[in-house]
Amino acid sequence: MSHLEIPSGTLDMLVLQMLNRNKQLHGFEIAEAIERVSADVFRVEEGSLYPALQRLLIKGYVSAEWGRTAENRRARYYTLLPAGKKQLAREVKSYEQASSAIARILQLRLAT
Amino acid sequence: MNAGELFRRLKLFVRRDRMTRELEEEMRIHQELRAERVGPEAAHRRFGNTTSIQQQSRDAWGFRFLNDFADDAGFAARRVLKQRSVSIVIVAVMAVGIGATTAMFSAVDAALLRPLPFDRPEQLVMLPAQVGREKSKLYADQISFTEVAAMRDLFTQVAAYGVGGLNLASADHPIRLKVGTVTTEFFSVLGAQAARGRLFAPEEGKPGGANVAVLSDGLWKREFGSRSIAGLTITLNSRVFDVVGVMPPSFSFPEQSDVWIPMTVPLTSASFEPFRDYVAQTTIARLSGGVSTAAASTQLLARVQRTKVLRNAKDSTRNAQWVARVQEIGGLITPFRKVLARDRTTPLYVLLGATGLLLLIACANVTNLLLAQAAVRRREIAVRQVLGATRFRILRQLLTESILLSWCGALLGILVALGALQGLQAFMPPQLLGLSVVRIDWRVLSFSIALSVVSGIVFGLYPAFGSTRRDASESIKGGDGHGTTAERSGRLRQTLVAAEVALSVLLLVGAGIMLRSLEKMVTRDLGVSTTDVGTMELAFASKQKGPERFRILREVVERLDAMPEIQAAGISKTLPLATAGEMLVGIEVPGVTEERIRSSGIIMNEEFASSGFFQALQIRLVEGRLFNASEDVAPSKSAIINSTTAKLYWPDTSPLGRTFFMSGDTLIVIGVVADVVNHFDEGRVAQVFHPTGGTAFFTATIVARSNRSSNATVGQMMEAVRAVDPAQPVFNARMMEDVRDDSIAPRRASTRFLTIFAIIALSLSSVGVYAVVSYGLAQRYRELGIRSALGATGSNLMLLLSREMVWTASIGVAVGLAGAWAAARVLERLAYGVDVHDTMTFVLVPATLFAATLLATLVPARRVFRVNPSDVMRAD
Repeated sequence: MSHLEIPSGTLDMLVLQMLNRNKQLHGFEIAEAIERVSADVFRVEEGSLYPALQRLLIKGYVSAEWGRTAENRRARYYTLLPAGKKQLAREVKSYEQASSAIARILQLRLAT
Repeated sequence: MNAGELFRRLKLFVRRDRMTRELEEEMRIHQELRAERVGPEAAHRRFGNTTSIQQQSRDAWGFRFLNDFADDAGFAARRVLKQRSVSIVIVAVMAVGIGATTAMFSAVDAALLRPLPFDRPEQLVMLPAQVGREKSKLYADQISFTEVAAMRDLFTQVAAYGVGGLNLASADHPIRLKVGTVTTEFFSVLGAQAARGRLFAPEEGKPGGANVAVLSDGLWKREFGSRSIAGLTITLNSRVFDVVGVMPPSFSFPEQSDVWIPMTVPLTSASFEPFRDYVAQTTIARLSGGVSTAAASTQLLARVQRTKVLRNAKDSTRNAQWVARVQEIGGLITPFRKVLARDRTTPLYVLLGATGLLLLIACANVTNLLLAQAAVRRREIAVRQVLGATRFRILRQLLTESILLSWCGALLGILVALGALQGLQAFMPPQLLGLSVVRIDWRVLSFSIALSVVSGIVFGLYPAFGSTRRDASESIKGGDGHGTTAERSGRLRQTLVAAEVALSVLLLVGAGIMLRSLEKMVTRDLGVSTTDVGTMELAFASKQKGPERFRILREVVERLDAMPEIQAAGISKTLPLATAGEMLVGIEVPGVTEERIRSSGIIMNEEFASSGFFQALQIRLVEGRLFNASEDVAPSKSAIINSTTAKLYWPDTSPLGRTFFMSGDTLIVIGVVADVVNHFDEGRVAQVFHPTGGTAFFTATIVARSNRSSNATVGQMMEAVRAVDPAQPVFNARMMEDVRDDSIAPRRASTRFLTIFAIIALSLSSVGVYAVVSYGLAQRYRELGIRSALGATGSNLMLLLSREMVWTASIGVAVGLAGAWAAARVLERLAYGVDVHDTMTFVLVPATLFAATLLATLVPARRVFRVNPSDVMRAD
């Protein structure tokens, strides 16, 4: 099945959202989560995930620390920070505004 | 970007190595987990180019530029260290080139280019006016100072100055000070202000005006402890002067004066005191706005001619001759700066030219070395290209390397320049000493740094462009490639070597001529013995009258004569080789016309000497006798002449017993002595010696020959003076050898510099040759191996390699010699006793260069013997 590209500029938002719903995830888990919740519509390319994570780290939206997985493997876990939560709210809001505008132009109704 | 973000970025930058490793680990784990699902190959493919993802992630850190730069710099540094010997050579070559240029430029700037630290210096000019003496008329070819000072439309201000010496009374030791005797407008002409107090007032410039003095900052601090000038006085030659002002530390014109006193207009005997026999005056003026030097010159000449009083035919002739001379030298008025720098410009320009040559050689060398390096690194660059480095990245790395080398060269060069500047102080015209300090100023510094950066870029870029343009795979495949680019590069290198050799020839010829001149100077027969002779000068205060002065001199000589080590002691007015300027005199001999004398071009001066003088300096007696005891103390009509005078005036007979007229007296020749050199730059001079009996001395010289060679002689002489009169100041007490050395010193300094330049040039050229041959060997390794396998012997191969270089060197030498021959005239003024087309120099120089080139070629070429043909075959 062919996957859709994640619309540009929305990957950050999706990552933040996944971290919002789950306390702590490591990189692979974030990718899997997005794929699963999007019902496999989206496939996260690793090439874009890690740069995105670094961006979020620099901006102070997430924090990261090394820990152990269930199988006792080393992994780096990311947590959403309060600033990140605020940023998520901001991005969701602008996304909603943008998509309703598009919907109006295309005369579609957006399912909420 | 807010503060928190900045902080996080900084933290990341500092820890970037660790962060990079963690990122790598994180991505690896991710890939492993993916592999568990879809298998390792799929996972790998899905992940993509790990390296570039990491790069992108690090991009998010935002320090890409800095990061890359740090990487480049690190890489460049490692590379440079790996090729230590070549890098050291390149840095050293650059340092020398940049250092020499900076130092020379600073010196020329200080002497010639920097504006004089006077107000609006372009308006300052010099003119040949004289402040006349009281009760005496000026000659027909002299211009009156007062007349010129009145020409307010041409000159806003006019001033005259002279430098003399006066004794400062001091408790323990009398000191002789440099005294600037100046008319009252002197300071305002130059636009100088006093740092404390005031300058001279107009009344003080009139005869009989108050005795006032202005101190220099140095003297004020040294002798007066910077105390307040209210009520301060200074005693010079037993006369008391009121100190009215102190000049700022930067002002010590003319000639590092310690103190200034007024020059009255007209001159009185009081203001005459600081000078010896005559007042060496210079008159300067500030041109009125809008008046050009040429216009003022013409105007001045016209006006002077109109007011001149020509009393008789002799005056008219003299006047006409004077006008002719003035037209010849281009006018009456000279810009002041030209006057100050006059004697020193030639050596400075010559050295500047030499520096330029050295810089060119250095550049050629560096280019050569970098080109050779680039040729060898072609393969490495090609491999990097294939691995994915963009051309830009490679260029940037090569550039960083070159710039790193250039910066090291520049830094080192600045150190070299600082060192060289000490030596260059010798070149400053004496009048500018203390005014224009030779130091590295920021302009020169930035010029040097810019030069190094530009050279880094240019020389780094050329090979870089050449290397990356080529098809990468071809470079990896092919061995050394005999493509056109390689040939072109090789030809360029050969041309550079030829150029270096040619330029070196120029420098070597210049140095050779200077060295020969110096040798001639040093070995010249001076007519006096310079070993074991002590000399000193005495200056008298005006309150010591003639007989008093004479008594002191005689008593000192008697004391010296009494000492067992002293073989002979004598008195004279001046000392050979130490005289600054001389009065030109003339004598009249019945039967000898003035025409004949003038056409010979020989000038005449007069001297006063006691019998002991000739003996102490071992001046050879040719005919007749020296002065006797009575002539030494009492007036007489005797005179001694030198050989030149004898041949000039009495060519066919012996001059002994002949009479001649001089200054209104009839004198009789009692002896002829050998010629003595008073000045290295003089031609033959006719001299007349008067006996000391009845002579008025302003200042006098005493010489004494000791049978022991030691500096103790000078001490003994000073002791003798102290015993006769403890308050009598003595100065310039030194051995005759030092007098001679001092007069040679400037020449010696120029020669030393030129020689150093020439040696450096020779070394650089040799290094260039060595490098080209070495790299040539490396490049043609395969070819040489094949030839060897085909039967060529080691010597055959050496010949092959050397032939090209010898041919190149020959061309270089030929071109260089031709250039040197043509350009040698530049050195004419500096060459002493040596023809600028000196055969020995023009033969030795090419011989030396050939020898050096041969050596530089054969040493690396010898490695050809180690070429192993089987190695070469296998390597492919």
